[in-house]
Amino acid sequence: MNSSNNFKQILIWVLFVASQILFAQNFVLYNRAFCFVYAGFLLLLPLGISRNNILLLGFFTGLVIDIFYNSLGTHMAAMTLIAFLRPIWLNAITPRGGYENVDSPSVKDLSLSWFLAYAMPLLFLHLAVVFFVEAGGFHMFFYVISKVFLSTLLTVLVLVILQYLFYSKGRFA
Amino acid sequence: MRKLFQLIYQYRAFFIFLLLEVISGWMIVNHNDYISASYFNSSSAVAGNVYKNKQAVQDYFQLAKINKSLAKENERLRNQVSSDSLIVDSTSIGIPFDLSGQYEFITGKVVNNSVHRFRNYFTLNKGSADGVKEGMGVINPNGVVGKIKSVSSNFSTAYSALHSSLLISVLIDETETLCTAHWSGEDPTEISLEYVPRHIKVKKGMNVVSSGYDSIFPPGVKIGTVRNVAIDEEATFYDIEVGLSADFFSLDYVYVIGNKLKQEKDSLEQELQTEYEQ
Repeated sequence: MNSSNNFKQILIWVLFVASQILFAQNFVLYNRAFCFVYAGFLLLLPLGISRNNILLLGFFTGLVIDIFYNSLGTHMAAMTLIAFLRPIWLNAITPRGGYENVDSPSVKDLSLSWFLAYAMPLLFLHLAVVFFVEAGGFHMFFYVISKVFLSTLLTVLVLVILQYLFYSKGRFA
Repeated sequence: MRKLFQLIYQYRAFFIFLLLEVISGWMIVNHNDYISASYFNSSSAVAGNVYKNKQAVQDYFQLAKINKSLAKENERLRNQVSSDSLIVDSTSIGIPFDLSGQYEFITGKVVNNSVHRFRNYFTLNKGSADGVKEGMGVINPNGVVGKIKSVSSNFSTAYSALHSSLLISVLIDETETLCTAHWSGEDPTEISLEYVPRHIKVKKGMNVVSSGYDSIFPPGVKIGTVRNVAIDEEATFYDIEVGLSADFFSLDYVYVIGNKLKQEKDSLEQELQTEYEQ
């Protein structure tokens, strides 16, 4: 990665985290569906990034979110988990033709259906960790799992919309 | 030995992952303690300032509402002043008059708040520089709101009453029954009452107020009114839901309560307890 690319990623990081803290935090539907759009930063990182770096990035992003959410450790654990699983999952669902000419695992570079298959399981795990840790155990299992499921749908929806708005061809590339 | 290092190096991503997860797990466990550093939560200077500016923007959209609630409180206080000169009626006002010297009030403004999580917190724009200390109670004109968790010099973070591990010592006003209020984690307008024995006749609409025994809240601060009463045939205690009188969806100005005699009371009780244990 060259330095202009690094700078671009830092900018995207700031935008994701700021939008999570300032807007997405208050975006709750029916007391069930929460929007954790900041996790999209990790999902949309370029493919070339090393496994160690992505772990550290996930950990750090989780820490910043935790400070604002007063839930020290929760988002860190969840982000570290999906940062670890991302390369494995990317390997498992390699599209036909591999990742040649693919910069980042986004709707722009691949396809909408591929992105959904990629993002939803990871987000589901992320949110499951967040909500079960927050609930402090498995009592209220069905209430929590419904929260996880609906939040995954909402977050994916927001991420797809964001990509059509900002990651469209030619704007950032 | 060299093989071991090779192995670690080969799977270094996995070991880093394990290390980071252990760190976060350790933080999760430790963060739930009552004592924790104020650097890593929203009372830290950076997070506090971000929330303060965010709230400053949001305030413009809520001015009318805040104005209305302040005017209402003004009216209540005015009435109180005029009635006090005649009779001191401790039931008509929020805080019993004879105790007012014991408590000091610090006005604070909520700059960040959550209601939808299992553990809800809010952030206030007052900190240790204004006299806020850990463990103080927080009320608003309508009732009990929470308890201070940690303090930095200009901000403080508080447990909301909607926090699944905060217990509040309360009384049912009509029957003087001592019990505990505890949020179950689902409905942000309701709190559950625990340990109300079945011989008490509890009815819908009874008032629930703070007991003052925990020396966090003054006695007699309203929590809410009983909304639902149920009891199983073999259960010892009622299942009671109380509708909260404070509206947690729109917290704005609140009072942090300092109890000047808390230490004296606590040390006296501590003495009794150690004596009892011997």
